This record gives sequence, C-alpha cells and structure tokens, in this order.
Amino acid sequence: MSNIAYLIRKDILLVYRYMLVLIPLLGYMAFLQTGGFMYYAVLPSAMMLITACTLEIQPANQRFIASLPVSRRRIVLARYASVLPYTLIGIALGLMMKIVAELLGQPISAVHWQESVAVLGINLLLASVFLPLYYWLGPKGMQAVRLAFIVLVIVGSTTFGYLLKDSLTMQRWINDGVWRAAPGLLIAMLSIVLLLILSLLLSWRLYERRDV
Amino acid sequence: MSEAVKVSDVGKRYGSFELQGIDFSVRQGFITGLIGPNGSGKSTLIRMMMQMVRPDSGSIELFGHRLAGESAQLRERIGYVSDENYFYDHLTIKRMKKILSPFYGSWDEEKFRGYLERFELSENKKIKELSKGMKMKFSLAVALSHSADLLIMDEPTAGLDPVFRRELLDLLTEEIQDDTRSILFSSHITNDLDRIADYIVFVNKGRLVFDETKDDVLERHVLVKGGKELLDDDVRGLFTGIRETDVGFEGLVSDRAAAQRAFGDLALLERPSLEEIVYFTSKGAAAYV
Amino acid sequence: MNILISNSSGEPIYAQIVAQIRQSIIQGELEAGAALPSIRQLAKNLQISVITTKRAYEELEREGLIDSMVGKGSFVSGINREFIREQRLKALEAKLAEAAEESRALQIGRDELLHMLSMIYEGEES
Repeated sequence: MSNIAYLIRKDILLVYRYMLVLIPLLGYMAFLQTGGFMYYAVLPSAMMLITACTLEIQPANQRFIASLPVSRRRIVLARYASVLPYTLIGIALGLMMKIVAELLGQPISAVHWQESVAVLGINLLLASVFLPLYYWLGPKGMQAVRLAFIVLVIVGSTTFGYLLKDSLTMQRWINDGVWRAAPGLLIAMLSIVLLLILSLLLSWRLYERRDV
Repeated sequence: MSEAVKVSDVGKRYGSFELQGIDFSVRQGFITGLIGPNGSGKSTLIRMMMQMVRPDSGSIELFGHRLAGESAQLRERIGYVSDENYFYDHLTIKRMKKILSPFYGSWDEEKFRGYLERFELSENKKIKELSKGMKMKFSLAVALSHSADLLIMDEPTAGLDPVFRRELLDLLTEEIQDDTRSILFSSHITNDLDRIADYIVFVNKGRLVFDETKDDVLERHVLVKGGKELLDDDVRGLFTGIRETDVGFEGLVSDRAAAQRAFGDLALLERPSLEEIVYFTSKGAAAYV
Repeated sequence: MNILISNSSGEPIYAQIVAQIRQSIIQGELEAGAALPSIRQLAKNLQISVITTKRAYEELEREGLIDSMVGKGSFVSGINREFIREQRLKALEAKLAEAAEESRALQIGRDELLHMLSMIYEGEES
C-alpha cells in the first residue's frame, strides 16, 4: 500500500507547478462566470491526471518508473487511486473559485456537498476512459489523445456538469435527501464501479505487456 | 558459486533485431563486463533484468528467483544506472531524490550526501542543467545509496572524463570488498572498466560469443600478424576475424595452441587486448581495408 | 612491499604479481609470517580483477611460498628459508653455467673467466 502512496506523492510533486498556471485561468473564468462549481472542481482535477500522465510519456521517464521496486499493477493502481487526491484538490480549488467569484461580485449559485460527490463520479468516469487509452497508445498516439481529452474535459465538464446538476436524480438528492434519489444514485454508482473495474483490468493487461 | 543474475536461453525479437539463445550469469562477489558493439543487444538484456522488457523466450533469475509478474521487490536490491538520463529533467537533484528515496527501505541519506559531496554535485541544481557526466554521477550516487546487492550499470562511462573513470574503478572495487555484492556493467568501449572486470560476457549481433573469466579470454586468444603469403583457405579458416592490407595481415585466433602450431615462428603472435577481441570478432572474416 | 604491474610487457598480470611477491620473499623483504594484503584489497589497489590476484596467490601457495587460511588471509610461510636458499643456489648455478657456456663460445679460458668474475665480485663489493 505504502508505495502506492509514494507514487501518488511523486505525481503531485511533479504536477503541482503546472497547476499553479491553472489558478489564474480559473480566476479569469470565475470573473467571466463561464462555469459553476462542478466545472471549477472537475477541470483542475482532470488536468492534474492528464498532466501527470503526459509528464511520464518520455520513454526515459517510463523507464524510471519501471525501474522502481514497484510492480506494474501497483503503478497502474496508483494512477487510478490518484483520482481521489486530485478530486479533493479540485474541490478545494472549486470552493476557492466560488469565494473569488463572490469577492469579484459575480456570485455563482450555491454549492451543495452532493455536487462534490458528483465531481468524484465525473473524475472517475474520465479516468476510466482516459487511462486505458493512455496505456494502450503509449508515447506515440498520446499527444493527440491528450489534446482531445483536454478539450473534452473543458467542454464536457461544463455541459456534463450542468446536465448532471439539473438531472432529476441530483435534484432529488439535493432537495429531497438520499433516499428519494436512491435508484438513480445506485445505478450511477454501480455503472461507475463496473466501468472502473473493467478499465483497471484493461489497463493492467495493457501495461503489464508493455516493453519500456 | 551463487549467481546474482542467471540468464537462460533468452530470446527477443524487435523488428529485424533478434536476440537468440543468450546464456550467461553474473557471479556473486565479482565484476562482470557485458561487452559488444553498439546494437548488439546489451541494453535489452539489462532492461530484461530490470523487467522493463519481457523476453519472448527463456528465463531470467535474480538472486535465485525467477523473474515473473510480481518480482518488483527484488529491484530494491539492485542499484541501476541507466544509459540515458531517465530522471525528470525539470526537477532539482533534491526533489528528484525526495521522489525516489522512499521506495527503497534501506535508503541511506548520509551515504547519499557523502556521494553528492564526493562527486561535487549541488543538490539545488536542476537535472537539465547538469552535464552528461554529472547526470551519470547523480545516477551513480542514487544507485550506491540503498545498499544494493547488485549494481547494474548500462554504459556508465559514456560522458565521463578519464579522471572520473579512474575514480569509478576505485569506487566499484570498494563496493565489492564485501564479497557478497556483485557488479554488472555494459560497455562498447572496452579497455576502460574492464581493467577490474573478473568475467567478460561478449554479445555480438544478438548472440552470445562467450562468458568466461577475463584472464581466460585474454590467454586463449592470440593476435597473429604476418605476411600475406602465409594465408591460404585453410589458414584463413583459423581466424575469428582478420584484417588484410597491402603489406600484410593481422587477425584474431581464438585458440592460441592452434595458432602456434600453424604459424610457429613464421608470424608474430601477440596477446590481444579486449578491444581487439571485440573488434575482430564483430568484424568477422570479411574485414578488409 | 611494492608491486608494479606493467600493461605493456606482454607477461600475464598474475605472473607479474607472482614474480614480484616471490622476489620480496626471497630477498627477505617479506618475512615469514608476514600478512599479505587480502585478495580483494590487492585487486582494488592494483585496479585489476579479483580473479587475477586470486590466481597469483594460488600459484604462490603451490610454490609453498605462502599459506592461505580461510577467513584470516594469506601469510608468508615460515618453513621455507632453506628451500628458498636452495632455489636461489640453483638459479645461481644456472646463471654460472650460462656464463661458462658463453665463455667457451667466445673462447675465453677458465682463468680469464675467474679473473673477470672476481673483478666483478669485488667491484660490486667496493
């Protein structure tokens, strides 16, 4: 378990500089009021995941990771697990943006804690599509996929965020409590878990066979 | 004698390049030099030991354990020096160390600092600002700081100045004063680290040429120099590699006794250097200038 | 004791080590019971292979010049003072025989040879 934590720590040490660039951008967006809380939270967390992966795309760096006394499976597992800390950081940034927006006199709508859970859901969903592609394509095809994903994250998280926020399940959950939303939530949870497991198995299979 | 690494009948295909039937070992307590021309498969073999590359056939054992999916822990016992800079360029030495040291249970911070000082490396320098030789030194400092039982170095002398290369010899012989440790290095420039090598593993074009003690290799081979009138088809057959010019020939024979029988006093018989052995073997009989 | 390795002499390195340690023992520079550097230490000092130094020590052991004890190291053996002297005498005789042979070839008489020898002998004494 501990070396998974060290792998995540490594990623955070590597990407945090890049994330500093994102903060003024988010601030600017908050000023223009182009997004809501979910958007502000999903964007940085997804960007962290994508950046961490791209930083490791150089064959030499891939060899560095492979040289560590950590199995390939754990390396992959750490990538999936890193979605959790990224989401927490994303949520913290989202809240910060809300405060900034209010200070700037552009208040965004109220934030419900349930939205944070939805942010995690979206992040897991993105990761389970992105990571197998990352392990499948390797250094070669990754540049294009990375760009496509950044666009997808930016466009997708706004629309998806809004859709989700206005969805019946979310509304029920926020307004009427968890039991009223239970069927929808259960379906969402089960499908995310199923997708995650399939995605993890696929990534394992792809990365274990890869020569770096 | 126990073996730190045992490579058995390993094969691997990469497009047109092919490693085939490679068998050799790295004996515990000794220094083994893996030599051969560029592109002969040395790095691939080393990467297989690090489980970066999977062999298509055959097997590799580290410390008596056959490498399989979950052999990652064994890498804690290996100090690895890559032939390229595989650290993150934009980080400082300090930060890079911070990233990798927790993975090694026996990381010795004091030892690491000692090496930084000895190698005159400043920990606040970014890795991309380091010269090739300095990157190698940093990599070496990392490899030597977690009490590894086996040091694997891929072309470690590339980019090092002659002064430090000599110092490296001291460093490595210091490491194996304790006869439980082992060292494997690869090199295409010989007459370098092989001063201190006990065993020489020679690969050429993806095949193993030999795995023997260096003393045996040097004594078994003989460099023959003589006039061209001595050469006929039978005699040519003796040579592992030969270079013929307008004024004579020089060639390598891998059986000293046979060369002595064939040439007696008619030709000059000399002790070859490892470099000459590599040169003539890789050129083969077709070498013509 | 000094050991100097020549890379250009063409003589195998182990043989150079054997010759020089043997010399040190015969000259009394290394006394009976004196400890030799460990195989690994000597290899480190000379920057050569461990196998080469090991082979040199094995050769010296075969000649009866040193004893190796597991875990303790190698020591100059004590019983061979007389043996060494005999060896040296034999070597001296061989050299003298060579000198006599050469004298005959050059048609130098016995007395003349003895005269030359005593000149050289005294010359070196003074």
